[in-house]
Formats: sequence, C-alpha cells, structure tokens
Amino acid sequence: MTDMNMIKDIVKAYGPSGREQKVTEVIRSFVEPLVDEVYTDTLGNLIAHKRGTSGKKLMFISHMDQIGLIVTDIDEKGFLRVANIGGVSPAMYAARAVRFENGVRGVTHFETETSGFMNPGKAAIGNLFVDIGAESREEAAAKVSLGDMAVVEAEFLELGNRVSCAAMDNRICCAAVVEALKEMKSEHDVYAVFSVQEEVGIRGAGAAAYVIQPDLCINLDVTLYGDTPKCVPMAMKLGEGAAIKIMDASVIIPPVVYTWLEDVAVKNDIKYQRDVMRMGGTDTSAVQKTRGGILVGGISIPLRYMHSPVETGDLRDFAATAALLRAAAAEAELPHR
Amino acid sequence: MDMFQIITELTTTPGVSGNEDRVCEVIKKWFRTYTDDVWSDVMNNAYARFGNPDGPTILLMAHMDEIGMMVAGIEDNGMVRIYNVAGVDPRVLPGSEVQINGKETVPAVVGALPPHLQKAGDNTKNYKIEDLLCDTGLPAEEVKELIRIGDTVSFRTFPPMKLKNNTIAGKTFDDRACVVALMEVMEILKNYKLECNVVVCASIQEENGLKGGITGAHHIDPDMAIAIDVCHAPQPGAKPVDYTAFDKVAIARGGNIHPKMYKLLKESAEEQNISWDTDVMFARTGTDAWTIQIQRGGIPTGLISLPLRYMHTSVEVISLDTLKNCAKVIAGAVQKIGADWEETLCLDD
Repeated sequence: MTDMNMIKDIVKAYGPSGREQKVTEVIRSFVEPLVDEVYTDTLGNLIAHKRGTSGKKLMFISHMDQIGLIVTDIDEKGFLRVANIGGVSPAMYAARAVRFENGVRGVTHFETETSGFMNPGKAAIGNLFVDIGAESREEAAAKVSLGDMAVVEAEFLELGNRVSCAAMDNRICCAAVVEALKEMKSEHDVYAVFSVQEEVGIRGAGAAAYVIQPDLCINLDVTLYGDTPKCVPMAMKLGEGAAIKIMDASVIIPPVVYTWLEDVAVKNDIKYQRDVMRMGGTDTSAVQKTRGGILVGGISIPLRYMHSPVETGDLRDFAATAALLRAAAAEAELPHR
Repeated sequence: MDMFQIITELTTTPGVSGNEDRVCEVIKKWFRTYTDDVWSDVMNNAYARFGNPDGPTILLMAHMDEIGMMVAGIEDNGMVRIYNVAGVDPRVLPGSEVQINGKETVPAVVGALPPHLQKAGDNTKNYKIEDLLCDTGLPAEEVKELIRIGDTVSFRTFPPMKLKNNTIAGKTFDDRACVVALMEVMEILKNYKLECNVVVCASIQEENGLKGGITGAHHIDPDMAIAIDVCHAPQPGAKPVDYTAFDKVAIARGGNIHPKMYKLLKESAEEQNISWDTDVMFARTGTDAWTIQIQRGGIPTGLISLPLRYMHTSVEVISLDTLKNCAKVIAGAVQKIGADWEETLCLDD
C-alpha cells in the first residue's frame, strides 16, 4: 500500500534551496516516530538517526531542496523581477502560478511585444517577471521583499502507476527514505540525511558526511530516462525498478558498492535496473570526496521532464527503491575496500 | 629499472576513472619493490612510504586513472552505446579500436558512417558521443551475456610503440608515465639517507574531478607536496602559450603553486644541469596540484609536468629522456628537504 498522502505532503511542501525550513518540518513530522533522534545541523540538513549495535555507520542522503525563483527587484508598477535558484528553464517557468513562503501567490510571465500568440521560447531569466496582483511598488513591497523565493505551484496528479508534480526532484526520493524507515531493521547506525542546497551546487551533503563519517553512504536522487519520444538514448525506463547508480556526471560508483546493491536486490526479489546518467550531478560526489574518501553508492528513481512543473515518476520504482533501501540496511555485512 | 617495461605493464592494464582496481594492484606490486610500506585506501589511491618517518612529510602524486567510456546501453541489434567517463574527445573515436571490460575483455571497434553514405555537409560536423556505437561482432543475445550497462570501455591496450630518438607512443601516458617517474624517484633515492618522510601516491579519478588528489592529500596530511602530470608539447595547431618544449622538464609557476616549491624544483634542475622551463599557470592547473593545495589547512604545493603530444588519444607521445629528467628533478628536491623545511618554504618578507 503506497502512502499517497505522505508522498503528496512531502512533494508539495515549500522548500527552494536555502529556504528548506517548511519541508524540513513536514519530513520531521514523518520521521520522528520512526527513529531514535532527529536533528538539524548548522547548514539545515535534517538528520534522522536510528541507533545500531554493529559499530558501523550507514548513511542515506536525499536532497530536499527544490528549484525556484528569487526576487531581485520590484518595479514601480509592482512587478517582481527574479533570478533563478538552481537549474530553472525560463521557458518552463513562464506563465506559471507561483507561491512564496508566506503564502503570497502570483503568476509569471515574460516581456513580449506580441499580444496574440506568445512564444515562451523567447523567455529568458532576465525578461521573466512575477505578477502578484499589486498595482504599485509599495503594494508589492508590503507582501514580498527582495530575496524572497517563489516556487512553482503545481497540481499533484495521480496517473495510474505514475504521479506527476513539480519538485518530484527530489521529494519522491525523500518520501522513499521515509517509506524505508518504516519497519527498518538494521544492526548498523542508520543516518537518514535530508540535505539542503543540492540544486545550487551540492552545498549541504559534504558537511553532513564530514560530521557523520559513515562507512557507506547511499544517495537517493532522481535520474534521467530513455523512454519518451525522441529523447537522448539512455537505458533507464519508468516502471523498470529501482535504478542502481553506476555513474552520473559527478560521480563514478565503486563496483564493490553497486554489485553489492544488485546482490541485495536479487536476494530480496526487488526489481532493479542499472543507472548510467549522461548529465547532472548528485550529492553522491560531495560525500565521496569528504575527508579521506567515503564509499558511496546510489539508488535512483527515473523521472521524466526533469525541472519542469510536471515531473513524472512511477510508484513501482518508488516502492522498489524503498524496499531496496530497507533490504540494504538489513544486511549484516556492508561493502568495504 | 627498465622504465619501458613498467610503462608497458601499467598502460596495458585497464583502469578507467572510478574503476582502477586492477591498475591499483599492479602499481602496488611495483611500489613493493622499493618499500614494504605500501597500502591503498577506500578510494583505491595507492601509497608507498619511505625515508625518515620523524622528518617532515612530502607527498609526491601522479594519477593512475585513464580517460575512457562506459557502456550506457545495448541496442536490439547488439551495438553497444557508450558514454564519456572522462575527457574522451568524440572526434578521435570513430574508426578506433577499443575493448569492453565486461565479464571478459571483449574487443570492439567504434564504427563510422562511410563517406559514400553521408549527406551533404555531414563531413564538416563532429561526431557526438551519443551517436557513436561499439561493434563487437556478436549478436545481441551474446552481447548481453558478456557485457552489461556500466562496464568500462577503454582504448584497446597494446604495448607502446618505440619511435625514434628514445620517444614512445601509446595510450595512458597521461598520467601513468608519471607514476613510473615516481618509481624512478624511488629508484634514485633508494640508497640515499633522507631527512624527510616521503609518501608517493598514485591517485585515482584525476580525470573525473580530482577526487584522488582531494582524498589522498587529506589522508596523508603532508607538510608539502609535488604533483607530476603531463602538459602539452609543441604540436601542429598548438600556440606557444599552450606548450613547453618536448625535451624540457616543465616546472609550474603561478597562483596555484607555492613560490618556494617552484624555487626548490628549479634549483634542483639547475644543480643537475637538467634542461627545464617555467610552465606559466595563469589559471587552474587542471591537475591534482590544484586541489592538494587547498586540503586541510592548506598545503604548499609544486607541480612538474612532462611535455606530451596528442593528449587524450591512444597515440600520446613522450620522450623517455625527459621523463627520466622529471624524476631526477623531483628526487633532487626531496633530498633538500630536512629539519629546516619551514625555513625552506617560508616566504620572503
């Protein structure tokens, strides 16, 4: 049984990079009953710790921040000028409903001299603006301040085996970690880290790994796909199971780790696929190069239309990912080198 | 020591970035011929320690990983799709011989569309890696038995070619030739009573984010370091600002380089009458030296480079004489490091 309300609450929570407090509260409410202690570190990473007896430390890391827009200027007519937080495609962010942390709503549009059929392909971050309904600078400034951040307001759609929303990257993985923590049995100390600021240059992960110093860290993030019309050829497909990371543009996983995860998947009859992602980095790289080096692996959920308001993933991959995490935590022997 | 023999063994062992297990073992085997104090860490960085354990520690680093590719998919017709792991130029791939390091080593070629079949204008376009396919000669079912997504693909290993004038051509001289130079440093110093503690490190994943430099320097926490890597030698199409003479040891100078490490290396070359030149680094050096410098509380770092032609191809060309000279310069510098090392490195007022 998929806990759809939990997934939805986590996916819909507000939390652009650097402003993760609201999503932190949501995730905290879900993990608190499942672990021994929950705390945040200096950078804002949320860490759920479940004590073990083996003396080994197993860390999961899943970033909880999302991409968004930051207000850089308010003009005399009350329009907000913005810059991007993370990998925002201006065309994807034109003509959207957005929401600020304080609940203020607005819509985005872009400068255009066309009044008929408008082509958002002309949108650029420099000509994008947010209309919050204000008629003057003063009225806008009473609701929104410079430096406030907005995220796209998207509907959470249930599409058969698939679900679609903004910020599925990477909340679907955060939800998978929460799912895995339910009834998790492990001899090891398990640290589930929900990291900050991945989308703006993998900022949170290294600090968490530096303090925890795990024996093994498994990253949870979304991956690309090769199963839509005319896409770049890639082997990953929605519905084909947990994607065991072999490499992405930021990290190469040691074979000793990904073969271990595959063995765990086979032993527990969990559907999996291999994940070689041509572009995009993950927290995994920052963890790997922390201190004298940390053994890392990754489990990914293939996600279509990444960084759009309609990011679409598959619930079967979600379930397989949670199951694989739980099974990995139950292993007495962790991979080592 | 027979440098050519060791270079041959090292460069014919596959070790694409992130998958250095095999070459790491070969390097440790050679390290053990000089010292018993040999180990590797969780990243697969290989280390050899010798000299005076109570003296200041100097870290000498050259990277062992090689550029290469990875299997990203297997087509229904058995063709193997590849993905760039680090630094491979797709222009040099069509028509090249490769090997897929799967359940067994599978020879393959990267095909190219014959000129007869190209459309007008195709010959002016560069190939993109996602358009290139490896052909093993096997049908799809057998390919899938031997090869899996995630297997590495390397340039086909073959012994280096001896060219004229003590020059050799082959794959992965970047940077395993320099790993061999560090073995030559050990050879030179083996009967010398050193005042300093020397740790030689063959690092991993330099081509993929300098990860071995980061973790290796943190692990050793040295008082100073010298990295050795390859640089560009004069070659058709290159501008003078890009290269150092083929027969000169390139000693780096620039913001990334500690001035006294530069001076130490320069004086070592001059005292031994070794032909050298200053390699001006006005920005990042793109080597392990770049990251060693900023590990822990900061590490005074120098950089020596071996001039090489046709970097990141399977026909990299180096001079064995220059390689040997690089080793002599490093060995000479190491001999100068003693109890007064802090004065040696202290910047002038």
